[in-house]
Amino acid sequence: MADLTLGGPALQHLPAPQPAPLVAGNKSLSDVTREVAGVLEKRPGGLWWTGFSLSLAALMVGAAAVVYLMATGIGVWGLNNTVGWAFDITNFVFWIGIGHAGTLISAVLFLLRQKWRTSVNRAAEAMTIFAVICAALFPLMHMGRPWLFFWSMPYPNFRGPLWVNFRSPLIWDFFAISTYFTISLLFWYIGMIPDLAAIRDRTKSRLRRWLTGLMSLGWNGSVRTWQRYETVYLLLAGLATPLVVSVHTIVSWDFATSVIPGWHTTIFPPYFVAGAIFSGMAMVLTLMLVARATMHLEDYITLRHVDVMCKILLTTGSLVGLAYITEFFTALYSGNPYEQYAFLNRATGPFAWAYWIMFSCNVIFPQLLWIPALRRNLLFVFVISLVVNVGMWFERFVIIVTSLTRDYLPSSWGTFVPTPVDYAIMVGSFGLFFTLFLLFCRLLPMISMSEIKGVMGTKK
Amino acid sequence: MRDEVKSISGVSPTYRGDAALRRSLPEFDLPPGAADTRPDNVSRRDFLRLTGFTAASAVLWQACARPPVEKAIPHLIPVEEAVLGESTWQSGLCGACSAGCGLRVKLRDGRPVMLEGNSVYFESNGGLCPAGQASLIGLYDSHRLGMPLAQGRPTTPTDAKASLNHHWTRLRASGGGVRLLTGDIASPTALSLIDKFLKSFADGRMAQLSSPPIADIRNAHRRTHGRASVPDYRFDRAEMIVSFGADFLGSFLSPVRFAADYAARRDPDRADPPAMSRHVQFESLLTITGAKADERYPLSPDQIHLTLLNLARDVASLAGDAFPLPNLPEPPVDPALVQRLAKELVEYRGRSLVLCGQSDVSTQVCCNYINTLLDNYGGTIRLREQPEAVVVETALATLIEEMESGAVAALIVVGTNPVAELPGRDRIVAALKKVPLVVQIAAHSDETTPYATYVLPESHFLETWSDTAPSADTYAIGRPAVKPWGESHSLIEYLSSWVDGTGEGKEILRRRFQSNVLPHLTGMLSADAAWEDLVGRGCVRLDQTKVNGTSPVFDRSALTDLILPDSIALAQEKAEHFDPPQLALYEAPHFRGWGAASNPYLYELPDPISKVTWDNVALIGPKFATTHSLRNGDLLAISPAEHRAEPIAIEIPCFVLPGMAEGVVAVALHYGSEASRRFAKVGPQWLFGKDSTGPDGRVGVNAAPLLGWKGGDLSYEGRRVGIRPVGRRIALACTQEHFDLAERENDLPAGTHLPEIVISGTLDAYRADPASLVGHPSHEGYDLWPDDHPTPVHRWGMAIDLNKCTGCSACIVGCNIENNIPIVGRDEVRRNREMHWLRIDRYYRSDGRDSQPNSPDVVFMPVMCQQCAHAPCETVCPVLATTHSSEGLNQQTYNRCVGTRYCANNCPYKTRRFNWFDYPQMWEKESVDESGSRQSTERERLLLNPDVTVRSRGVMEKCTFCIQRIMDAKARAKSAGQPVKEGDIQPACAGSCPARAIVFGDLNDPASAVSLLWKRQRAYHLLEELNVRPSVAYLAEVRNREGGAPAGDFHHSTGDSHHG
Repeated sequence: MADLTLGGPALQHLPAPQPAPLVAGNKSLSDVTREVAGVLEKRPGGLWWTGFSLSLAALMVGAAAVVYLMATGIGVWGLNNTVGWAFDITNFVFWIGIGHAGTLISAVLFLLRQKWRTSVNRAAEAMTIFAVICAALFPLMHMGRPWLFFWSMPYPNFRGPLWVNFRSPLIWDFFAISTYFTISLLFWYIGMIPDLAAIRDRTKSRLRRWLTGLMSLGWNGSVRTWQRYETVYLLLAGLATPLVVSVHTIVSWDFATSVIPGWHTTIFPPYFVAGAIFSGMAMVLTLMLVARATMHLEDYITLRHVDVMCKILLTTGSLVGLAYITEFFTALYSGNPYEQYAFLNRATGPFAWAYWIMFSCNVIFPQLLWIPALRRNLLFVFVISLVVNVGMWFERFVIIVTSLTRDYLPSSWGTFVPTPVDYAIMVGSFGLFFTLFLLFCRLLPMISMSEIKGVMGTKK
Repeated sequence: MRDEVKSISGVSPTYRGDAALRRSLPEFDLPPGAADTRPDNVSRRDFLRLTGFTAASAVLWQACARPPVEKAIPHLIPVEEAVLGESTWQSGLCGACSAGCGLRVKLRDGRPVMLEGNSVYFESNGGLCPAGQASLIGLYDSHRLGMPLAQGRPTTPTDAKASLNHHWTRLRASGGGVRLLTGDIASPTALSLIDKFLKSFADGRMAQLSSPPIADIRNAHRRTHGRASVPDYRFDRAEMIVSFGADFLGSFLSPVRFAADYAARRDPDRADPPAMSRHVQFESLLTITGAKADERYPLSPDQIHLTLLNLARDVASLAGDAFPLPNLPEPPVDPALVQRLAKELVEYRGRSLVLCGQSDVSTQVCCNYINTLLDNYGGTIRLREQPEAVVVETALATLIEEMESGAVAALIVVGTNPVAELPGRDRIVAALKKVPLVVQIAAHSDETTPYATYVLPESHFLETWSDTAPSADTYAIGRPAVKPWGESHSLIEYLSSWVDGTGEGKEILRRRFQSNVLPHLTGMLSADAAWEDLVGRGCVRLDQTKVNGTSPVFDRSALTDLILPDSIALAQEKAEHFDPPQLALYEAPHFRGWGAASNPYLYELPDPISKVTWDNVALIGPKFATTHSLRNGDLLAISPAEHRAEPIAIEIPCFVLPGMAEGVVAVALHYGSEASRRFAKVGPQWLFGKDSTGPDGRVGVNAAPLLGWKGGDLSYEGRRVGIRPVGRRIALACTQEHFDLAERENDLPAGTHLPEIVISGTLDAYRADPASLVGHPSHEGYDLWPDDHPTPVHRWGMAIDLNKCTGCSACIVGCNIENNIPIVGRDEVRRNREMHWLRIDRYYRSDGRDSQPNSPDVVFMPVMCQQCAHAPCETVCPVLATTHSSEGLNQQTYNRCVGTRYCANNCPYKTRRFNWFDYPQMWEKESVDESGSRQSTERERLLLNPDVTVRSRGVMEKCTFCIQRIMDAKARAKSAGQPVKEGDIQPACAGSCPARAIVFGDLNDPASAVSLLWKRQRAYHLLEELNVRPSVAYLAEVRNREGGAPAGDFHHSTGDSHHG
């Protein structure tokens, strides 16, 4: 845990061994600008095109499936009278969870003065935005009549007392997610203004100059500008910090406030938040390791970064494991036989395979990260990050589907079998996510130049 | 909103400005605290507003309306009693089977939209079975024959009539054999016309293809009492019932009447008269009757025969009669059990009833013997007077032989489908081809149609005059509700026109009434008044003294003549060997004839026992399944064992059921018809959707090839069959997957106890301490917001007596038709997406408490929306589409629903149903596919209840307690200036329940029936511990069983009670 506060105020005056520099390669400030902004001025390579076409293909598959869904009805999914939510809400919670690492890295670690965040915060924030976009599509799609989605917004209308139901957690979801998206987008954009100005000043393309000029809001690099900028950034970081906790807390209330055994659990808010950070950090690792290899960012995303993120993964993974075990204890201790059966059924029932995938991916495998050598083995870390992503997807699937399949009356117990349309839409959401991310890599500076310059250390 | 709609048709007085009336009535008052914005005096402004609204609504209404339906209701002359937009009820007679239950037809704008039991009808007592309810769709069936066919081509009715009359004249002159093949005929008029018609020929005879035990009961009584008729069984007088394979609550003779009478005797709270009858059931397969029995013993058909003989001997010895058959083998059950039953039966002499459902005359004769010894004839069994017309009958087998030999010159086929219903299809077809003139009277073309020279379209029973004699002293008449479709007529009209040229149904019946019924009536009514009374009520009691002649005496020679030592030895041999297995062919309660073959509601209705839809299955016991490692849905090839070399007779999926007799495989009849091919495309047609029919393009499998012959009639059970797994399986569409009440408890650590879902106990324990049954504390008082949902005027509630519910599923069909619930097809049911708002959960107990290991207790529990006061669904809806009414109802606003399904997830009872597709369009697709014309689809749409919204896709729906009926009753009460009375409102489920197990009413009225039932000590709420405060109370089940039947009752008890 001590390493988490690496470089923090408490440690600064300790005669600790000097950690490795945050940016390797002994770079000058102009090196940074050249290397980060330079990427945007070159034509993308074959690897990028391959990734982009695959992602776009997946997106197209998903888009076709969504069109079919909208034209035909929710029946094209595998849902039924017993299981009213499955892949749709699983994917929703999964993507919202992914979105959590961005805010954590950009806001919480900023307030905690974790300087290593500067290498990854831009990409993590972008990931957040794209993940929230993916997530927001699912509540929309899962509606029986999505063309009436605006009825779940409290907009002024002439329907008299007929408004939204403020007791419904779905309404709280709407507020939580829209707030989160707004703040995340603002935070990302404000943080990008100095870099956009840098690109504006470098680029030879007139269109890009005009666009970046517009977006950088007349940035001139004066001390006053910098001062105001940093104030705004700090304030936004302060505003965004509670959202790290609130969004997934509220999402967990979708389940916690219900009467369904396995959903109706007070542990859900902290458990969901830990899980969200866990999955988000895993996704950041996945993306960063790919970007590091394909876009030659080895000097910016160093083994030290990977190590730190692995420690966060280990911490949150262990928290999640603790939550899983606590749930069982709660069920046993509650004396509520329905609750007891719900958990027994998770671990031993027809969906036990999903439960044990979840448990091993999220609790058992990440424990290997206690070994420092493995934390610095990039291939291993990459595999672990994928494993955690799979495990966290299954966590939501297990919570949602196994609880619904067997609730109170055995007569209504059922099962869930996904249809090809379910899979297609899930694949499509990954397609959308990676398409957006790959476009981001080519169009905007992936690394926060202005911030990284501030933490580069000795060499000026 | 409802008020405004009503005001357009001028029905509701809401805007009449009748303020005094409104103030005086509580019905439409707003809850306290809500501002009454309705004007007491209509101002100019209000007037204009209303006018504008009305005009706009009318325009919108016109613009949005479906095409006008004038084609189906050709009211060139307006019907007097039909008020546009208002429904009326009239009495009628159900023709779905031969039981002849009374019904009332709901007419809306002159067309029938609902059938319900007729409570003034003596015999069926206000109930109606699922098949009766569902038969309404036959009226609007676009595949019905409208014109006569000659050699398969349409012809004019005049031509058909002329050529047929020519044939009859020719045959009367030439003296050729004329045969009439019918199903069971309940109408005395039809029988007398058949008699007249056949007697006009030198060689005219009738053959009947009856429902399983009817022919044998008739033949047995012909032999023992000299009366070839089925007697009346009076369950309301029976205090001790021992049934040997008679499924009298499901498919035996007249289940609606039997269920009503039986249920009246199953009330443990009524002490005077002692209302709990005792019911012991021996049966080969698990039926709903067996499920209700106090004691149940699964036995193979031959074991039943032997047990019955032993019981006869024991009763005879107790009654002091010399039993004529010496050297009986030991019974296959504990002899002590048979002796105990004999003792009890003798104790209830004259108030007991022994029934036999076997299609075997000798077994029936033995049953008659026991009933005679017990003095039940005259008490619980009433023999009917000899029918006025004794038609010369011939056995079925003889008919076929005659046809084969060319002795039949003309064959008339009515109400049967011999090609599909008789075993040996090729033989029947060859025999039919040898008959020069085959006349078929049928509503649909079927398997027999291609071999008919003439096909005459038969009317639906709602289109014609009909009559029946449901019991010895009742005569009933059904009047038409609509004009016949096309050129169709009823059987009596055809017969009458052939006999004497007259052919108007009403005149025929009126003539018969004058000559045969009127003399038997008591009272001072004139003939016209009596006729009017009969037509209005539907039925009339005949004077008992004028009806009954001398009561016949039991002919003992029948016993020794028919029960031969050889057959006993054979039965003994068969009873001891379980391999090869024996077959039991049966009629499912909802599928009691070929009339059901064209009825999609009945295909989609879950079988009351197996809960399988869109298929019939081979029911097998858990032991058989384990031995052959079979799972539900595995295909079995079944062939008659004596013809092992023959090709496989049928291939049918199996279904494992506890409580099956060892070595018995049971298959339901009447499935697998050609008519079912049309339902292939019922349900959503989408990328991964599948047809509603099976691999061979039909729904289910026709089991007729497995029928046997015995004494010239069909034999339904006891045949040895060869069974082998095919190695393939099909996915069955089953609405319930988990049946075992203790499954969850067994999985939990020992000592964990779940609250009971279905509470049941024994009568002794209940009488000793009524509070012991529902022992858990009430949650009254744990209410955070006691005033959250005030119900100042009414609070609608329901009570369901689990002791009375027989699981017959009439309520489900009633609900379907009343509430426009779509048929979703086999694939959707398989995906667990059936739309039924009301389901009947069937559970059994395997928790070791049960003392009959091979026959666990089976319980039924109807579950619909429980209209919770603290409804979990209401809090989670983001758009307030589901809200609580001031009358305690949980309302669903379809228009507001965006379809998040959160409410359904959060419903602990899982009673909410989602429109996964645009289901209401399904009918259209079905008919377009087949006939290619759009016009035909409009006919089926006429079935829709105009009072209930047709839901679009993406919308949640659920039981509303039939809110449209509540609103209608309130509007009527208000128009009449009276408060709503108890009994004014009857939801569709309660309205058709034969056992009267569902009671609906106002819980705010302490004197209402439902309030009184809620106060009974048997009353409890499902999942009461959740404190969601349901508006439905269940009355616990009580079995009249001594503390627990002796465990050693069963010879072949193997203890394999753990299967699902």
